[in-house]
Parts: sequence; structure tokens; C-alpha cells
Amino acid sequence: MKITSINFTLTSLLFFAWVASSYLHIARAQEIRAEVSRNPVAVGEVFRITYKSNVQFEDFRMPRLSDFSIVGGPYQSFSQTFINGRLSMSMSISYDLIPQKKGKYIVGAATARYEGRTITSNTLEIEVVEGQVPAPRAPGREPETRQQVASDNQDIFIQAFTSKSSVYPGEPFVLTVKLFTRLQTELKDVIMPRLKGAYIQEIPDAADRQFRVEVHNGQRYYVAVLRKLVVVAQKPGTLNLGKAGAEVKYQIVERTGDFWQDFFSGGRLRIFEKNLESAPIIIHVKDFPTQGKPASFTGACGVFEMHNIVEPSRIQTGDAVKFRLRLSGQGNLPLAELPRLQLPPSFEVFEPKTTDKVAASEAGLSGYRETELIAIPRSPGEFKIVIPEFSWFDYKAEKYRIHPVEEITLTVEGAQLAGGGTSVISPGKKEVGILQDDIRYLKRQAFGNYAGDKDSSTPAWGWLLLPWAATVGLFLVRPTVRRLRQEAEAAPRGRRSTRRAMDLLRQAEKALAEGQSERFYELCARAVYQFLHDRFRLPLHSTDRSMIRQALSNDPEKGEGFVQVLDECEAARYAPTDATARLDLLVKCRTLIEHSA
Amino acid sequence: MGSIATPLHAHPLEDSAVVYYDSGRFEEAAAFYDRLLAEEPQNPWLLYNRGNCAYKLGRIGEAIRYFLAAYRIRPLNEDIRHNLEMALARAPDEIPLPEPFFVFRWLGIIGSLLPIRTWWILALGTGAIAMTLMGIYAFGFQEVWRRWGFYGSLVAAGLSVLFFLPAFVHGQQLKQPLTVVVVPECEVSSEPSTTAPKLFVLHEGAVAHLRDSTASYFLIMIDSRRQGWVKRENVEIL
Repeated sequence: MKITSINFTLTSLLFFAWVASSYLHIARAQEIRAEVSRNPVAVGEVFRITYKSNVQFEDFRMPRLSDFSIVGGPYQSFSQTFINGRLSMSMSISYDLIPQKKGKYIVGAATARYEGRTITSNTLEIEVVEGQVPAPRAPGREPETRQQVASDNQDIFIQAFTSKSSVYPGEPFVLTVKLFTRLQTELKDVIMPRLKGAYIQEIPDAADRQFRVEVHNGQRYYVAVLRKLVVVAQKPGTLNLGKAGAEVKYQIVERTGDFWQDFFSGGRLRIFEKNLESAPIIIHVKDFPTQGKPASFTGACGVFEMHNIVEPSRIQTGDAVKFRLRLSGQGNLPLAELPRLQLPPSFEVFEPKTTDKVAASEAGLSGYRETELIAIPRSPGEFKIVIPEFSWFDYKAEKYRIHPVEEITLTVEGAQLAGGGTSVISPGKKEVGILQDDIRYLKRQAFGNYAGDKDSSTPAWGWLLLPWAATVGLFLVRPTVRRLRQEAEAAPRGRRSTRRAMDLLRQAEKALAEGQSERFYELCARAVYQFLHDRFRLPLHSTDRSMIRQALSNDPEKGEGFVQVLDECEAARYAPTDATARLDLLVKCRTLIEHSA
Repeated sequence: MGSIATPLHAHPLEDSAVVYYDSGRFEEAAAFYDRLLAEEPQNPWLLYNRGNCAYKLGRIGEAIRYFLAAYRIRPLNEDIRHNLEMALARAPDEIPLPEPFFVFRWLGIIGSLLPIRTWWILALGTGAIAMTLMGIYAFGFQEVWRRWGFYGSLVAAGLSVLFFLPAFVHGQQLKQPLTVVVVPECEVSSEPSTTAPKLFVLHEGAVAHLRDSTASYFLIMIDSRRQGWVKRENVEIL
């Protein structure tokens, strides 16, 4: 009975314990758990707050978030699973927020209703800082093989990818810098890592700043390839290539909290400018294995082939022969050190010329490096040219390869040339360096050897105005001079005007004495015409009698007298008169001219 | 110039100056060049040599003063320019040399190619020719004379102006007074008195325009913002 009683009591206690635990379980299940994507967070940086629960709640109410701007959400998700006859569900609501000011903020509890009861979430304390917040280091997490950096901002960040995480010195790998964004973004500038301790070559046309859609960590992003480079580490150890960065401008539409404003204008547009930066790009550079390392190894690393060419193999003395050593394949070709040829002393050797034809691609560096050496043999003979051993490390097979010593026979024919017997290396030209600057030396014979101005006095510039003043004076007197000249021309000539006419009359008198009557009349007429021309500016030999009368209008008797004389002279040519009449005509002419002067 | 000549044909004072200079006794060489400069104060080669002496003595301000004087007379001479640049490089103050507007600078350079008096004679001669031809144009009896007189006078007048302008600009540039600080450091005050507020400090070799003067002060100007009074003994005029 006692035992039965104890059993009953135990059974009752177990029952209550089960009921209580069930109740507690339900109570825990009905909680809402508030989580934040990161804490602390920088001013202006987007972060996400998520409310999770394992029940399907309703009438969810956010706490007041006056210190934050809501830039996304609510994003709601609900899932339920049925495993081994047990039903489990989860529900979450997320918001993307941007903090406005620096400080510590308490986000209050959110509330919701579940089966008619009110359930609440825990509160959150969020610290907002100025500037950039260092990315949180995930404890115990190894860096991903091909992804060096993960930014802390989920919406816009930069990542640098390397095609290999561990390389040998000289082994090329590809470094890709990408910008991931889910925001309206404008790329302004790209800042590349410093890439110290490495040889780099840009892959042509690989950078693509056009945004394309990519899925990254289960999220869709617009992705731009900022740079794509082939990088070759040069020495073993940890190679820190620095950080890649970009200057971007992005815009975010904020929910204002005002339903109508959000409804009509879609929220408030905010533009941010930010320098994004990746975490340091670190590559582990392994050392070359010591085992089996040839003595001729100088650091060439790749998958190579070596070719040696001699053109021609038979020549005349004084002709040039070309030795070409070509290393081709994939690897650190621009850094490979090709072997140096040792030629006999009777060869004149020119400075070797090295040519690189190396292209960068996704596969690394490929092409060839060639050294061309030109030599002129001065002596005939058969020469054995030894091309030294060359070795490199094949990073794919992880073993050393050796191109053995090669011997080439070169036959030189012809006569011995002068200057043979010594090998002359023509040195490459160098810029003449300046040890020290100094002033130039004295000018000799300076005294008295200067034809310039002996003192600082300047000539009287005013004298230069003299010609100009004289010219101006000329033009000032010019009208007066012209007027005087015209007046002089217009004035009667006076007694001087009779001189030529009287000469002609003397000739006429002579002709009269000689009995040349025709000439006499002609000379008399000319004397009158000459007088009228000289005295009154009448045209010579003008037959216009009216002009004569007009010129002598103040003394018409004389005018008429001249007209009569001319008429008589003309008439007498056709009907000659006697000697007395001729003499009368001569006297008349002379009298008229003398009295009219 | 520039050729190496035997000193036998040079002036005896210059021979002595060269001998002292070559033996490193620059102070004595400078004294001889000063005597030569008293006779030919505008001889750029004497100024240049005197500047060399000052430079070798470490007197950068004085060296700049002489090199700059030589440079103003012969701006195209490469040696003068080199030595001036060397001296300016050693001057502590970063003050650019006063350079005129480029048109005037080039006119001045052209003007420096001939002595100013030669330019003056050329300008006067062509001016007289222009005047004569203009007279022929004005009073010539025949049309062909008048025509040639007119065009010829235009050409001659143009040449006269071309000869005049560079010479005049070069002459004006030479007359423009400049000062060079010849002491290690000097203060520039807002007024010509010892109690006036100090505006700024100039160091040896600083070049400035001379604007005005009193019995014991010069008013100097570097630019519109930096001008003030400096004691006479601290600067030299060129």
C-alpha cells in the first residue's frame, strides 16, 4: 500500500514535471529572437536586424527606430519541416537599417501575437562608430582557397580573388579584383594594391567595369571586374600585396516612416560616397625544394622549352654570326636569366640583345624570351661553342628540369683579319652623370670687348619724333604750296612769254630776206601761236579763233588783230602776197606781240 | 665671347683679376673687376665675371645682383643664365624673378641684340628717309615720283617703328630699378622707421622691385601683397 502510494506520488510528480516542461518548452518556443548582422556598425553603413521565431506569429510590431533609417525590408520568410513525425517551423522578419549618428543605441523589444497572446523579443544594444569598422574575424575559420577577402558590408564591397593560394617564387597566378553591389552604384576610381615584391602584368581587355549579375554566397549581386592581373612572386615567404580599393558613389532609398510619402515618392533618396577597401591580399610563397636543385638553377620557374640557334654554321672571317638562345613556354619568362655564351677570344662580340614576347592571360604568362648575340670572327678555324647548362623549376610537376650543356661547331673560313686575337665587348652607352654643379668660368678679354652701350644712359628718343614732326609740317604747308603753284601757273607770263615768239619772228625775218615766203608765213603764224600759248595758256596751233578773242576779251582790238594776222598767214600760203605786204605783216606781228606782253 | 684667349691682349687690370681668380683669391679679383666696371659699368662680361667672384666668395646676394645685371643686358647668353640660375638656386627665398609680359620680354630680347644707340640711329635714319619720301609724295611734280614717294615712305616709317620699339622697351627694362638683398637676413617694415611693424623677412639673394626711397630706407615690392620698407644697407640696387 505504501509502495502503491509512493508510486502514485512519483507518477504524479513525473506527470507534473512533464506538464511543466512542456509548458516551459512552449513558453520558450513562443519567444522572438532579435539578431543583428554586425555590431558595432559605422555611420552610414547598411546592416540588417532580424527577428526570428519558431512559431508563426502575426501582427508583428517593430520597436521605435528613430535613430536609424530603414532602407530595406521587411523581408519575411517562413518555413516548416516535418521530420520523423515531428513538425518544426521557423519564421523571420528582417529590416535593413542605416545608423544616422555615432553612439550606443538600445533597440527595444518587438511584439507580435501568437494564439491570442502577445509575445516579445529581446532588446539589442547597437554601437555606432565613425569611419570604417574592421571586419570581424570568424574564429577558427581558414581563409578560403581562392577568395582572399570578404567585406563586412553585405550590399557593396570589394573582393580580391587569387587563382592560387600557395605558389612557388616565379609561378604566375591571376589576381582579380571585383566590386560587388546590390545598390545603385557609380564607380569613380580604382585603387590598386601596391604589389610590392612581385612582378605584375595586366591581362589585356580583362577588366570589365560593366556590371553583370552574379550569385555570390547565395545572393544576387551586380559585379564589375576592376582589374585582372598576372602576378609573379619573387621570393619565398608570406607575400602581402596590400589592399585593393575603389572610390564609389551609391544611392539608397530610405523609408521615411511616413506612409503617404513612401507611397507617392518611394522614400527619401540618399547618396553616399565611400572608399571601399579589401582586406590585405596575402599569398604564401613556398621555397624551392632543395633536393635535386641543380647548380645552374637561377630562379626560372615554369613549363619551358629551350632552343639554341646559330646562324649560319659556316661563315667567312669578318662576317657576323648570330647566336640565339630562346626559352619558350609558360612561367616567369620576363624574370628568367638566360645563360651567357663564352666565345673564343678571336671573336669580336657585341652586347647581347634580349627580346621578350610574353603575353598575360588567364593561364598566366606565356611566350618566349630570347637573347641574341652577334659576333664577328677574326680568325679562321673550327670553333666549338659551348652553350652552358640551363635549368628551371617546373611548378606543375614540382621538379627541376635541365637543358644540358650543348656544343655547337662553327666553321670559319677565310684569311686572318687585323684586330683579331682579342675579344671586344662593346659596352652599352650610359648617360653621363653629373658629379657636381658649378658656375661657368670667367669671360676672358671682357674689358673693351663689348660693343654695346657703355653706360646706362639712353639716347634722346625725342629726336625720333623729328622726321614725323617734319612730315606733319610738310602736310600742313602742302595746301599753301599747291595754291601758290596754281596761282603762279594761272597768272600771265609777262615779258618772258614773248621771248620764244620774238625768236620765231627773227627767224621769219631771215626767211623773208632769203625769199622763202612759205616759211616766212609759217614762222609768223607759229610766233603768234607761241605767244598766245605762253602768254595766255592757249593750246598751241589751235585754230579756234573764239578762244583767242575770249583770252583777249579785255582788249578786243588786239584779239582781232591776232586773228587777222593768223588769217593772213593762212591765206598767203595759198595766195602769196608781195614783199611789202610781207614786211607789213612782220611789223604787225611784232607790234601786236610787244604790245600785248 | 667665350673663346679662350691669351691674357696678353687683355687690359692689365683684367689680367690681374684673372690671375687672382685662378689662384683662388677671389676678393682681390673682385676688386680689380670693380675698377674695370667703373670704366664700363654696362659691360655684361665684366658684370658676369664680378658675379663669379662674389659667388666663389659665398656672397650669393651680391652674385645675384651682378649676374642679374648681366642677364638684363644679355638675356640670351647661356653662360650668364646658367650662373644666375645657380646663384638663385642657393638663395633661401623662393621668389620668382620679375619677368615682364611676354610681348615686352621678347621685344626686350630683340632690343638686346644691338646696342641701343645703334637701334636709335637706325630708327632715326629710316624716319628721315620716310620724311624725305613723304615730301616727294607731297610736292612731287610727276605722278610716278609721288607714287614711289608714298609707298617708300610707308615702308621706311614702318622700319623706323620696328627699330624703335625693341630698343625703347629694352632701354626701359634696363632702367627699371631692382633691389637684391645682400645680407643674410633682413626685415621688411610697413613704414620707414625702426619702430614700424615688421611685415616679413627676406633672405640673401631675394630680388624685388624698387618703388620709392627715403634717406635711409627703400620701399621694395615683391608682389601686390608683399611690399614694405627695408634699410638701404641691406640691399643693393641694379
